Amino acid sequence: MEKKPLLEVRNLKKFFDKTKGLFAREKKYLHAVDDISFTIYEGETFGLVGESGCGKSTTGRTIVKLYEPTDGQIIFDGVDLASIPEKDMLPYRRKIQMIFQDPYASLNARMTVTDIIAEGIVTHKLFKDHDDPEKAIQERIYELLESVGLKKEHASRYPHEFSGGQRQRIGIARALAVNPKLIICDEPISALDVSIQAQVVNMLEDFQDDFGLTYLFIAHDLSMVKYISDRIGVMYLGKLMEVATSDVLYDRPLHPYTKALLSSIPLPDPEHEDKGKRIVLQGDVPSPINPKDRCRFATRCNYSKILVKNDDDDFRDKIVGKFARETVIDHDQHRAVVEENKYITEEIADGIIEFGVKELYINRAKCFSKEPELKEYEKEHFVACHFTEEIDKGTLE
Amino acid sequence: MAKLNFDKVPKKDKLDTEQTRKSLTYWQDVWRRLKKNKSSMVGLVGVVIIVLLAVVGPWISPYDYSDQLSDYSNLPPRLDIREVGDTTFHVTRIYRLLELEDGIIVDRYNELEVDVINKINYYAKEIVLPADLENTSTYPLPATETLDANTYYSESWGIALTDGEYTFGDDAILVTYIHPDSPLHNLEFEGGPYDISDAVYFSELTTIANYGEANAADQQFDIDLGAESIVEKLDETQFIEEIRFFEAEVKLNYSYGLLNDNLVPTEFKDVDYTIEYKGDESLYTTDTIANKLFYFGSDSQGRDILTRVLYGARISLIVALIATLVNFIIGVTYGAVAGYLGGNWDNVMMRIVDIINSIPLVLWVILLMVVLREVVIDVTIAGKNYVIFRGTSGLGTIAIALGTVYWVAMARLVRGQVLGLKEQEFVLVARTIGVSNYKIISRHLIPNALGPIIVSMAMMIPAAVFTEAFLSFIGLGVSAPQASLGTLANAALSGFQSYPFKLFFPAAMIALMMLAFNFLGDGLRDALDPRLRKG
Amino acid sequence: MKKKVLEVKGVKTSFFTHLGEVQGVRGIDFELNEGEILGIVGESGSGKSVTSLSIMNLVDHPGEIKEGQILFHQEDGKIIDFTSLSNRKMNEFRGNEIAMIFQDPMTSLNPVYSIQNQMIEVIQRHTDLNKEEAIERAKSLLEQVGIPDPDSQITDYPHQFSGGMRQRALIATAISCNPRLLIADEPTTALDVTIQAQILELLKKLQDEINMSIILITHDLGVIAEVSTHVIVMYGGMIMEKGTVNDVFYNPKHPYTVGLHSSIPKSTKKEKERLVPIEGSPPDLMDPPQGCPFSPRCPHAMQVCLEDAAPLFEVSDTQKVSCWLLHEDAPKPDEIFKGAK
Repeated sequence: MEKKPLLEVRNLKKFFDKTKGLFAREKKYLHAVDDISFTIYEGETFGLVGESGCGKSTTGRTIVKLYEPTDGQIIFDGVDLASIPEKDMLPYRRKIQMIFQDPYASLNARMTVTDIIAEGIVTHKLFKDHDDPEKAIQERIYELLESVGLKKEHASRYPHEFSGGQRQRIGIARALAVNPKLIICDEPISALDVSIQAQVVNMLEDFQDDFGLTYLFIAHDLSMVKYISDRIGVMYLGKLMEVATSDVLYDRPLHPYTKALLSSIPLPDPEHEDKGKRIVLQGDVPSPINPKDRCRFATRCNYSKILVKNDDDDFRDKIVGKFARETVIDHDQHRAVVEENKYITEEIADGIIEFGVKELYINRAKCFSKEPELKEYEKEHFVACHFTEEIDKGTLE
Repeated sequence: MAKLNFDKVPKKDKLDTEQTRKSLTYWQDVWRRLKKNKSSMVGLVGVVIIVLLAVVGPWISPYDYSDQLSDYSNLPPRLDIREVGDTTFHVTRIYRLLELEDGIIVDRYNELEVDVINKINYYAKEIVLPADLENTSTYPLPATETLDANTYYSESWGIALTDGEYTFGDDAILVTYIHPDSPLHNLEFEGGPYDISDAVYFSELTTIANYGEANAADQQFDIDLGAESIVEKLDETQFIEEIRFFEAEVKLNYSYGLLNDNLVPTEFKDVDYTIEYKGDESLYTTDTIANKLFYFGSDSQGRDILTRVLYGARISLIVALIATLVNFIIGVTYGAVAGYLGGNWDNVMMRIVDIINSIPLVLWVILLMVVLREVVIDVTIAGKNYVIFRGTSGLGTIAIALGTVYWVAMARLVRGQVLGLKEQEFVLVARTIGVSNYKIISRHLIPNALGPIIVSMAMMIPAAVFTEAFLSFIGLGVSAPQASLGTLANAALSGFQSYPFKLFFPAAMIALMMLAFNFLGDGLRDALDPRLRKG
Repeated sequence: MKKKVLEVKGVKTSFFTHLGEVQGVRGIDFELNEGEILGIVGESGSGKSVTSLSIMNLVDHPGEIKEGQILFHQEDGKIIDFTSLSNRKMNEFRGNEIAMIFQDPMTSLNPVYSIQNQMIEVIQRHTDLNKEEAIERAKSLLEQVGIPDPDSQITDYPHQFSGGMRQRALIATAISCNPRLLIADEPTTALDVTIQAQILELLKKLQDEINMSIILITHDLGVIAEVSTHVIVMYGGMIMEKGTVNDVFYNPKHPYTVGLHSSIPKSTKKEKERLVPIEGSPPDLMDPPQGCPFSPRCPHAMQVCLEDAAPLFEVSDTQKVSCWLLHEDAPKPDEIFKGAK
């Protein structure tokens, strides 16, 4: 069966202006989403994972145009949402709905459940041709409540009378009320207890089957994303690092970041075979403000460095002009010889040799000078890394 | 051990035990917190009472705020009374005699029969003279003289010694204010002409020596005023307060206490006097009773202070209410729009707020007063003409002034709230649904910012009351005959020492209103404060 | 025989709010030996955080430890009941013999003091070191928890640190006086997975190096499996099951523990298996179910479960389970009793 694309995101960019003060010399832009492209097919669940600040939520919100995209196209059902003005968005707003993370913040505490769910129906005048629109709306709300496992009596209550899981169900009922095609689930289960998460996930899956919904599932919990998604995109610092079907991604991750991310998940399995083989990433996520033209993951990547041992004569030649990977400190004089990620000049190289540094990690030039593009490495397996093939084949030195 | 029942429970039975919890709605919870807070409940009760009084009070009062009973001016809320026989009198600070029955004034002296008041004996207390006056020479007055009214009458000086003969007893003294130019200065008593201008020249009371020299010490004087109703006649003149006749044993020669109270040096104030009525005599105040004619006393024009205070409270509340309402409508809308639109809109709108905020309130009120003085807005509905706004009354002006300045704080508050709320997920959801901006502001943002808005309004009411009182006090606000608490306080300032009650009641009302609203506002803030709320 | 560090006996902690008594912890017993990492796992409202506050004797008004003993075994064998100590007396232990780290590393650090100030304050309170020595100690601690270049970083302020660094600094502060017991209340919940992995590695390393006992409180079964040696499963303010990590993960005997396992996806399994959620919602601690707190949601609930909370039945030397199903007369449903590893 030919898969029909429902949403195509092309070169989407969303920058936030973080320039402080009127007279700042340089404009500072936070590159929340920086040139990402992916396609979601009808009826599938596309997972978007990444750590906080990677831009996954911004992507979701830009697609529904809660944020005006800086650049790029959002082609939904053949229409570029990025190019149409807000006033013409209304028909598409019905077709794309969103479910948010916080079941407490996502429901207006001053409105009854009926009002909350009815808001979309009223806004889009879904029952305007009906004989008795009000009754029809009420019927529809009862139906929705029952389909998410709540009762008719709950319709007149206020959100605070419900537990977190029940609130999230109300949020789902609200999204379903307008018969959408695509639902963007922004961390819909992160705030819920473990025993409740499964309830919500099962419900989402059932609705997908029943109504042919398409999901964009945004989360940081990789095991749940893997469970629910057909395909997954891994984001890091505003960039897509790897896109693949969930099985492929979990079985054969190619991007170093995906590898590290997967191995960081604590498994609820004390004696799992992989235990102890974890790749622990060093350091923190760098600032997304005015990022440099290099692989976003290069600073933390285990593959972006080469170990150079001080046993050859050409040690000096090997390191001059390269980036130093780590801070080299002369402990006797408490003096940093090389700062992290600075070029090693001839003098510094002399210093390094003089201080008797036995080995030194230097950075791969490619990783630090050019941004890798997201390329299809295998069928439906996209990776944004300069050394995909080498990593896959294990030929990287 | 009892037998344990290991029967499986059907699913339906047990899940029913975990229904959604029935809990308080937001406003129920607020009300519960408020009830728990004692001071705020006191405030709430106070506010309700004050509002009720202000609304109903002036309406059920027998007086209007502008009714003047000038004969009963400056009566205190508690009357010192003397019982003379069966009759009770109150002597006012300006020595008018009021007949009382159960605290209600049934008569006043100038309506009495002449013979009722034929004798008012004033006893001057022993007064220590200023040191330099002690050894001054005495001035003997001769025996009873007859005053010929015709001779000494002078209309132009307002002394109503019109007809009849005035017999001065032995050593009588006429203590009066006589204008320096009055022919009375040349009053001649039998037995020789006496220049009484020296003796009783009390016009300014700047120099005690003037009369000190002239009067005799330790002499008894007797002035027999004869049968005419002098007092009544005097009453018709404008100089009534300055003229006192008495027939009495004057133990000492200085009887300043009988003069207009304001003119008497304080050390001579406590003057005892006797009231003789139908043969009975009363020297001392026998009792104090509540003034049932004016519960809070009356002002200098004989207006009921209670009515005026309640009316003033009403005016203050109206001003506060209008100011708060204007402030709510403009401030909330402006703030919500600025906060919701954000970006440059927000920047520009908030700079405007800054500019408005920099205008000094007093200057702004003066400006408005000047500009709006001539403005009268009226509408005619069904043939009847209603004046909506009258610049001269000051009420509308002050309400406009406060309303137009105070909303600035509200706008800032609401903007801040909205800035926080608009990033909340329920607002984002509404946007993804496609709800219009107007509905997002009115249904999502404002209802959720209502807590701080209410607190701010509750705190603004006492501030507005106080500002209104302050402006009226310094003469910028509500003008006569309307009474705001500030104008009342202002009017009470003159004669404050003699009539402290005139200041006390409006001041107490201001204080009570402030306290009640502040208590309530504090309680509301605690009850609505989102930081204390969980979940 | 391992040395005991902590014994918790019959502790009940309640919060007296306007709506009534909220029973945070309803009678829990456990003990902790030297060098063990005890994971307490539970959902929100299960009482796991109240347990940690009770151990630290940090239950504030309107809360109160109603009953029970918290016995702390000192190095020299002396046993102290924390519940009987005054706040001042207790402060001698806090930060010294027993330390705690919290979920949110930002709010746990005072933003107006540098890391150095905050660390030496703790160090000097419990030791005789002078300022220079305390700073040296602080630096070596920072190095120990993996903060690069502590010489220059130590004078930074909390906002200059990232979330993971802050949590490291907090751990460094907590271990500054070589505590016998470290309580970590959701130490990684606010952190990203890759940072979480770093912190968990660090906790394991420290436990190895300085042989302290750790109580790790979390809602994440994965975290527990990763680092704990022993596990307590709490629900509705009570202990449902306790045992070694292998007992609880491979041979769970309480329906709640079983339910927890089946409601998270097994990333090891290739084929997609539908999740089995636990029906219903957590209990209201204001008005908890009369019997077993889990009974309203339990698929195996019996009449007795609704009437009485089950005692702790012994499954093995290490594993104890509070469930009537383990009573000898009770039925033995297959889901729970078949195929233990």
